[in-house]
Amino acid sequence: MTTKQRVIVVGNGMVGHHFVDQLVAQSNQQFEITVLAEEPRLAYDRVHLSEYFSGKSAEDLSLTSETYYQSLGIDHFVNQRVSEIDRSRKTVLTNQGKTLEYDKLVLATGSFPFVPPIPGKERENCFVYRTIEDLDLIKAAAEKCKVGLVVGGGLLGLEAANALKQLGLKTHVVEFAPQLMPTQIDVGGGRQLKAKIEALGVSVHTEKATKIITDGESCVHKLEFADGSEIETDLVLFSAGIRPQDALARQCALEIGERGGIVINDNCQTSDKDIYAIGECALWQNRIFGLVSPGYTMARAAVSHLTQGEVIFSGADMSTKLKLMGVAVGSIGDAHARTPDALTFCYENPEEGVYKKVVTDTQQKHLIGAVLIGDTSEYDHLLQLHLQKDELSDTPESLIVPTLQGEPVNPADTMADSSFVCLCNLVTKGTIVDAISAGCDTVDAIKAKTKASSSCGTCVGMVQNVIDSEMAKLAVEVS
Amino acid sequence: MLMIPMAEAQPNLGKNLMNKPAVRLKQTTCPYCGVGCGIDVNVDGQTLTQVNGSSDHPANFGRLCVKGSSVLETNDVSGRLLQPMIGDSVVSWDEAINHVASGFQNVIEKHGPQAVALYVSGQLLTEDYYVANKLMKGYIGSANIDTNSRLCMSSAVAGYKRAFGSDTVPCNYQDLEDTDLLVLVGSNAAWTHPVLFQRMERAKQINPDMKVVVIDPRQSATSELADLHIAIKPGTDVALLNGVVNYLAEQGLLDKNYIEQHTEGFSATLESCQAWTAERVAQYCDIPLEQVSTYYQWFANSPTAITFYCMGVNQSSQGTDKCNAIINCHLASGKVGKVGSGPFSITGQPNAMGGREVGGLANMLAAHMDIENPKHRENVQTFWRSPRIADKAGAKAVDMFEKVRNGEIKAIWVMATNPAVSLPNGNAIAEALAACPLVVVSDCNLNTDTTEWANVRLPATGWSEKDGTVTNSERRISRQRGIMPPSGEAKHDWQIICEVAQAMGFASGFRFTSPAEIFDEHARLSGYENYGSRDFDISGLAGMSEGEYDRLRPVQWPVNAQYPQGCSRMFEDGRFFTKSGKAQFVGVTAKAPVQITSEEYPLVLNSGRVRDQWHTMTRTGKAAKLTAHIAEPFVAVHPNDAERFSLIDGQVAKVTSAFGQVLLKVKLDSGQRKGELFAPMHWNKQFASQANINKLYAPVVDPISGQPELKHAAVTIEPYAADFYGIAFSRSMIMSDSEYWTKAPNQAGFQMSFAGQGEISDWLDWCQQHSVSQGEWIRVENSSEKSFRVMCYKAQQLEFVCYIQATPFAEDTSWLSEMFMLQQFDREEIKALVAGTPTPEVAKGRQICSCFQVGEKQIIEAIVDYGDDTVEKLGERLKCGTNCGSCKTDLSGLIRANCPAVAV
Repeated sequence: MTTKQRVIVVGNGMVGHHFVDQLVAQSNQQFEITVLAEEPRLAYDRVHLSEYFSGKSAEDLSLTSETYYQSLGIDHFVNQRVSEIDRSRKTVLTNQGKTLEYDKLVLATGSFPFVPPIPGKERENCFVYRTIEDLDLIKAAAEKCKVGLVVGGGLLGLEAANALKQLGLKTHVVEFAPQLMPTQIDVGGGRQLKAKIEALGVSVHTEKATKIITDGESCVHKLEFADGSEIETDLVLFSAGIRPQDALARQCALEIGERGGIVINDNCQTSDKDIYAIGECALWQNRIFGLVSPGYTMARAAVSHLTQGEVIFSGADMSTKLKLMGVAVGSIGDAHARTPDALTFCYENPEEGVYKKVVTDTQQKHLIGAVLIGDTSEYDHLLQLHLQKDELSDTPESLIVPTLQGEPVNPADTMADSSFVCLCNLVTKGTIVDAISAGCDTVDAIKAKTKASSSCGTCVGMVQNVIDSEMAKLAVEVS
Repeated sequence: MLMIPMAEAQPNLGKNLMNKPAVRLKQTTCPYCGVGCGIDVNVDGQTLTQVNGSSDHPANFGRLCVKGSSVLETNDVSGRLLQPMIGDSVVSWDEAINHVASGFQNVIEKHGPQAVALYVSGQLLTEDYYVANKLMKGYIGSANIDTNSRLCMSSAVAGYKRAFGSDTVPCNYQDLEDTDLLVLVGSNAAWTHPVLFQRMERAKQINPDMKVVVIDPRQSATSELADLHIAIKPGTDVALLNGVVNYLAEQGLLDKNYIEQHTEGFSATLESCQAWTAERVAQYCDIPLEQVSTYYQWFANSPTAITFYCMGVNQSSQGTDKCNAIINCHLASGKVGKVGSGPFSITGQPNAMGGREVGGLANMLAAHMDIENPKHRENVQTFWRSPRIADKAGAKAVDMFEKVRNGEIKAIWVMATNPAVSLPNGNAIAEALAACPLVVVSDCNLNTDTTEWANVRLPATGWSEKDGTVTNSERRISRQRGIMPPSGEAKHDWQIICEVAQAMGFASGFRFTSPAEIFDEHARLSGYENYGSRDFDISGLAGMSEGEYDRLRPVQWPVNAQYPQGCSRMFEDGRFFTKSGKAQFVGVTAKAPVQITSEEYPLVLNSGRVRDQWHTMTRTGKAAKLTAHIAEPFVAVHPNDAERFSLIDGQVAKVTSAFGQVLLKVKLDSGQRKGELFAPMHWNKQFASQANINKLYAPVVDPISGQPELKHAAVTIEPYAADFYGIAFSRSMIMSDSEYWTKAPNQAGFQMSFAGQGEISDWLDWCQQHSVSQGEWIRVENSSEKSFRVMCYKAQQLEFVCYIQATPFAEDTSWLSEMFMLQQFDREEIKALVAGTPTPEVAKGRQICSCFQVGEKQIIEAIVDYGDDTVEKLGERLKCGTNCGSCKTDLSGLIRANCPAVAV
């Protein structure tokens, strides 16, 4: 038994947990796994964190349990922050004074919320939105507040705004950029998204640089902006982006990117071949991947490397589909049309609050990006065209302009069995088809059987499409 | 836009037989150029449903040009000033009248009568004009009343007066058809006086021996008709014309008998002409010798000749001399007062002549009497029984505004004209109006570049409401009839003037209750103490009843005991209104224009008009049909100059003079002389960001006539470094804030062309911000080429489309406008707009025929594919050119360009 390699996983977020899951699944118990979690609980679904406010409990959100880890023979510690790594001795030291030896160390430390250096940011009722503990604090504070404000209009910021709204606060979102969600969607989409979110009663203020947080008159705080305007609020949430949690790597002198992030190779190894980094703390080809799906892919690559497999990390598609405050938002590929010579085709129906955009190459043959706001019904079809690099059969605008669209096509009909439906858990269409043949005829049944759509949830629609497609075929066969 | 019900005139014939007919016919006069065409208007209830040329009106015999045929499109109340306003507040008429009267009175009391002024217009009716002049010269006691006619034909007036002793146009329109040689100097009649041009065309068809010479620095639609086009160097006309006299003398072809019996001053004039041999003329005017010789031979040997001249002659620092140089040619060859002969000045406004008759110019008194003549002053004052009479000439237009600017004039009342656009050195005019303590503007429009400066705005009636008389270029007085009641609270100009006069305490002279009463006084004054001493005598029209006045048929003055039915041609007896009764030769010397080019301003800027617009566009600018021909102002540049100044076709260029700067689209035109630019003068702030070209001109005037030199500015041109060019069409309003923009109504609704600098991050958002369109939007973007297409549609109807690109539009974009007219707007149409490729239905090309909306591509197709090699064949196939005929020269130009074997 002493031949077992000791693997220490620092961090038990979604990616850290996925790594453990995969390592257990892929290996033949040749590893002795230790999980060190800084948070007071084991991995939970941070993607759906906001549902904590709409009634889900911490337990509902949890992805694993002590019993499960125990059953796998995994040593695990919560409230156990690693404070030091000694690479020469290959040990880690925790804040509780525990020293553990490793053969292979996996850093899945994730990220931390960036709080801009605004004077007054330490004032009371100024929070970040990252953990269940943060949410507890916010919830408690909100009870005594009337107005809440989120600094940051990105994906998470809007999630947080939604939470404040649900807590009954008059809610403001303040964004430095000229638009909401500047990472995922384009200016036009941002405009439409803003209109929709404002229609829901959240005040959106773009192009606002916060200068200072100080005493308010009608509220506790007052935010003063560079343009001279100001907003009063009782509670402030910072959601101004994330920064890779690379403090440990810095401490032990691993290679760090210029703007942070632990540099990794395609095997997710850091500059120390015995230390891996995965998820939001890792920097691959100078990029941080702030979504769960690429983190999972990294986890699988690291596992593969440990188990002499061939899976590597070769980047990830950042396409995403979600609902923000009930507003459907989709972003595929090069949403900003930054590819040289790219062509952009947009459709907007302000009355219905719909904005759609596709980006193609200069020959209008291939879809390279898309943005969908208000209506993401084309998402699966567009994502498939993008990922499979299918040649477009009609003019690009026909993909999104209702007058030009033919009968709705089920994108699953033309999908190859080998294509992935669930990118988080690498479930192919073929796997789902098999599950359907085996009697799974609902998304939940498929989810339970194949894990498809069990992580980020983007592919729920596509799973349904596959079900519909297969059912239609069966109906034809039957008739 | 006025709702014009189509073909609903006969709802129930049986019922109408019992009552009076539903559709009435009213005969009136066109409100545009100086041809003065009769118009028949169908009136259905309160709606004007149709216009036709009056078949019995001697000016046009049923013809109408495209501007006249579209007059109903400009006649709606949109944009009208409908209530009196002080500042931006609506006030009662009483308040407005008292404000103006007391304002004028205060200034007069403090600073004297020279400190107030009226600036009036050739668009006033004679009756309006008459009372304005009476108020100023007889009651206020100053001659500070001048008219915008100063800008168009005051040189012609001065020329006639020097030669004939009177402001008399000797010819008539019939002469144009009866002549053997028609010389057009400084006139683009094909575009500016299309009905007369059609008469010329027809005359030439009937008499193929008739010769047409066009003297104009640039190739124009008019020069299409010419047997000989002489593109002289601008401003050298006097040399060319003096050469005619010299040639007549050299060749022994002078009419010595006529010179002897009917003229004076010939020998001195001949002396001033003798240096001008054909060779020297050719060199001086920068033209081929054979062109000079041909013109001279034709003129000398033709039994009859008309020299037809307009603004190209008059708007010059030696405009009066040019007019006399023309008259000299006719006197020396005896070609005056004969059928088909004479020096024929054409006016640009419907009632420029009426203004001359009543004394609307600052240097005239009334009824062609002279301010400097004590007997005339006594006549007029006695006749008027007025407290005062002006005894010296007042300030002429350009001077008047200079006096406003320097504070000598402290109250000015502008009527029916737009000096902020039409006067030279526009920046100084704006300064003057801004500085003037009291600016009163009577207008039918709420917003013009001039009303912008008004302290008081008085709503005047417009065409179809105004009632009175006008006089056209052949001395023909016609009724312009009030067909509609005044819109809103508008009043007739004569009423407004009379009310102000009464409020100023001048009740006795202004108790008129109808235009007929005013006309009667005017007619009586013309005969007062006349005894054949003055040309203008319409005493024969005095004493008409209201009914007779209303039924007055077009008649050419004089109308008196000698000519009870009017007089079609003057000076047939060789007797003139000079002291000696003889016509005067006036020796003139060729002078260079005052605004000459320099190293800094190396180019000459010529100005003029386009076919379908008139003056400052306050009316024609409202008609979609009229903007399709040329929707955007431009500067015509010879291709060599374009290369020299790094300009390409369609690009926005900055044209700068020492006085101002404009932004115009470059139009390459090999019909321009090198070193010379041409730009239309119509556009102003209501229609374009910076296209008012008159502001480039120096306030230089002819020393005798006071007419500004508006055809010869020294300018330079450079590319405007636009980052984007855009064209937008919309069913509803479009707004613009780009540095360069021009707007026009069109068949879809509105169109806008724009260009600017900087980067617009989201053109879809921009389009939504700059329009009021609602519906489904599509945006297409090619970011590397920086080209964008934005469109909006709703319920299968296109609402808005805008194309933006980094370079000027080389392709015709008129099809975008046609997309709005389609019955169906569906898949194919959306795809066409996305792709930027017209569907077959809309590929008509740039509009050539405005009446039937026939496009250039259609015409070229007919020429190339069907071999239509005459204008008539094209008309049979496409109807183009078969209504107003204004586009016929464009058609023949297209035939020549696309069918080189054919001589048109």
